[in-house]
Amino acid sequence: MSRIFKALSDPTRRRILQLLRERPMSAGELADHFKVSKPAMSAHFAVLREAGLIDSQKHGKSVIYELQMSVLEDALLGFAQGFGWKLQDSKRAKPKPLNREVFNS
Amino acid sequence: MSTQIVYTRPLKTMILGFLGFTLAAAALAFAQKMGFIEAPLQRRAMGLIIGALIIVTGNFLPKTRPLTAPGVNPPGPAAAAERFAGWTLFVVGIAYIALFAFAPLDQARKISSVLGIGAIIYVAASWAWMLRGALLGGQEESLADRQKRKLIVLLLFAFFYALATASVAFLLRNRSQIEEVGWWMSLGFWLLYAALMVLLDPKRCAH
Repeated sequence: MSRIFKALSDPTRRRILQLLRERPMSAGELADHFKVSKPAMSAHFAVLREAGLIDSQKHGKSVIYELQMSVLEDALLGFAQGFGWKLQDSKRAKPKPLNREVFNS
Repeated sequence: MSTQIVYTRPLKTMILGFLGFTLAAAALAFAQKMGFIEAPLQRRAMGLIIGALIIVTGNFLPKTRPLTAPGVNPPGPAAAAERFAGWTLFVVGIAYIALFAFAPLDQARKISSVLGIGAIIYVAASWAWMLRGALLGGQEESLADRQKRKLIVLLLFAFFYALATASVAFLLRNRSQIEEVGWWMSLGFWLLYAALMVLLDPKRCAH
């Protein structure tokens, strides 16, 4: 259980989960959505996989990640998301670091 | 192209859950038959147990991913259908428990039957076009993985069958009628199971 909370406590990891909600994606595809170094990304993937929230599938050379969340974990992600955004907004008055263009591309 | 899949489907949890449910239901029926508890109490407890089963199944359903058969079902829509079914069952399970815990038994029985049948139809409708792929399995899947998934699909069939049986049984008031329906239902279950086995695994049944 603490693994799941740890996995959901990071905004980058939450965004990875939200992106995977649309469809399964390869590690490269996911990395394109973030301004984070590759080793940092794969550390995020490892945390998520250890918590059992995502699953990986080797397709030739690329690794494809898929969501594997129970209903409760899904709901928890929703709570964490709402709560996390509020915390960020109160900390600094700037708008959310995530902009729609990047998110939707 | 080689495809290596490392799914971790929580199969053990599911099987243990079903065993626990069957044992609890049998214990209740036995206790009632021996006169330890009254019939209305037994029905209420049964309703609560079924509600718990619906919640647990709904919760784990998206994690077991019964429809995710690489090469047959498109992964995006399959995941969406699984998530939809999971949430539907979760909500229905909570309503079930609330009904049997607080509502008058007569109303709880009627409403829960409608809820149960409704959930089955709702899920079946959203799964219909992917179920064939899920039962047959894809070529890109490894054999072990396909068998695991088939087992999960069969467990889910058993769950939906149990839910349908409960929905019918809750509508009846007459004790002998319930028992008769119960017998026919259990016979039907094994017939259905055998038919599915032959359909899905013709090779194993040939020799």
